[in-house]
Amino acid sequence: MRKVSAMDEEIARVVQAVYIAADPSQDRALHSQALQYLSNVQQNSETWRLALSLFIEVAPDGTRKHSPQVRLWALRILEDFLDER
Amino acid sequence: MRLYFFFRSFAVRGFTLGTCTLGCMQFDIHRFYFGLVDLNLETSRFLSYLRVEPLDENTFQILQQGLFTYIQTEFVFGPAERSATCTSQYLNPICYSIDLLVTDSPPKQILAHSVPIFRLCLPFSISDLLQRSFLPYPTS
Repeated sequence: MRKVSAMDEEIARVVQAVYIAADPSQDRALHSQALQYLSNVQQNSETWRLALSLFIEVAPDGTRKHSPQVRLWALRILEDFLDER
Repeated sequence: MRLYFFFRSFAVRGFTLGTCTLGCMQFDIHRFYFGLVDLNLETSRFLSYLRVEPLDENTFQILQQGLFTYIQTEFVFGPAERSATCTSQYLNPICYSIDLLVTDSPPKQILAHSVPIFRLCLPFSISDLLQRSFLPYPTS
């Protein structure tokens, strides 16, 4: 069985937060909690690594592993990282 | 590379003034103002480029490898984001990110982009190419 790394756990949390943030029907408190979490993640200077994985990771069947919402969020992080350095 | 764009812009804006046959400046205030605003924008971009901190070697390599591998798997060999509802939603930001990575690199890192860029133009190895079914004759 594959050992789940800290990076994988972080990716799973971010993916969940993006889904919640992108869904307006979610509970209001949960929605703002997700937005706050994503905002905190964005401020971390090492988030670009996570964003790169989210954007380019490929599933075993050759398709992209993550959904368009998650990949767009990741792409924005990469763009900001390169733009603001 | 940014230096090139800066001087090209400067040259183009310089022509917006122009001269008449008597050698005096043709003063079209609208063209002049537009040129001045654009020159100002280019100058500030160029000055911000001078302040860009080069990425450290490790970060640079991971980003370069990741982005160029993505282009190769998705756009050279792959479906070119066919599943996306609107391809430009990825294309615009990805082009902008690659532009930032390539053109805002300091000179010693700019040269490092040439190999992966040329590799994108040569997607097949010779042995791959010989085994492609589109060849009209047997290769063995």
